[in-house]
Amino acid sequence: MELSQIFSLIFARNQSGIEASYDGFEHADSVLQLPGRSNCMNWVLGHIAVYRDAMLAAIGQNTYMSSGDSIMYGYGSQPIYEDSSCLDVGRLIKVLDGGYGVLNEWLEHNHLDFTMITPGELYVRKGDTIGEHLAHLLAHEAIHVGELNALRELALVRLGKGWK
Amino acid sequence: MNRTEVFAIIFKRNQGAIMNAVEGLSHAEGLLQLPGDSNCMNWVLGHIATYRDGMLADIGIEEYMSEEETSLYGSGSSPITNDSPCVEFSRLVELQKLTFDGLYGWLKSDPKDLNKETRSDMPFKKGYGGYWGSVVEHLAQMTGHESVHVGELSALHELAKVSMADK
Repeated sequence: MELSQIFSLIFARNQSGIEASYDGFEHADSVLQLPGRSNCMNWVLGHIAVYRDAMLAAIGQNTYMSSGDSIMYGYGSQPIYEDSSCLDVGRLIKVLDGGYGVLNEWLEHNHLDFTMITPGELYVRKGDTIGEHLAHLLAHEAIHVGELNALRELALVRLGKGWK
Repeated sequence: MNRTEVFAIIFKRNQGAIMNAVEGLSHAEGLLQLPGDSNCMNWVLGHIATYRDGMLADIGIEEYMSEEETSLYGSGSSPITNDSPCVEFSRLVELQKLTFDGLYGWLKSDPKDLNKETRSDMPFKKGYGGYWGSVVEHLAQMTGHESVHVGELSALHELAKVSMADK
């Protein structure tokens, strides 16, 4: 098992978790709030999209989110509530699908050089080499994917499909 | 950047988030439930420890969990609620440290046997010990799995903070 296969496997698991989380939901379901200072699904999906863009930019691919989007969903940004300005969840899903497709195709190419130096002009730069940058960002992404599980359960309860 | 470095980066990130999530919490807070079919913190911590112990088993270094403990936290195990049998929170926190130290220390020792076959003599089910073909495949599958469960801890930590503030 090569490094690119390890990245592909983790990335596919993340994307599968993302797709399972919003299946059957509408925009209003994405701004439901859990107790405390957790973020809603809309913020988590947007945050993942911003950091996926940082992976795409590092490998020289086109990005999807504007600078305004990055401010809205980046590190330290404000929570998103029902009456906050935010991207429609349909748009976020398209961005995440698009970014996944490009990254997955890049990882499937042979002879990738993960020792390439990570470019300097990135929204977030998590390692000196592309391999290190991707490892950090994939783990960061996976943790946020995990946050979606409870948010999906919350939305199911609201829809009358939950068990509590 | 090689494969062991990637696994080490992911485990280290996971461990940092786990220790942040459990800080200041007691056993009772580990049993608080979010709306819907989510698992409580006690179950998530036990699940992470069980799957880490399965990785340690395949690597062939010291394991920390008994059959009784792992049976409570495996795939498809029953939810843990206030009146369920479960492992004490402090023991679960200790297991996070022990299993992390084992896995991280091994990864940082520049191991040469990453491609070796997994065990065929597991005495009882422990995570995915003995399931995947090779140690590297086992780690690749389970590091991402672990990160997703680590992500579940953040909302549970917030829930515990709300509960403590209400007291």
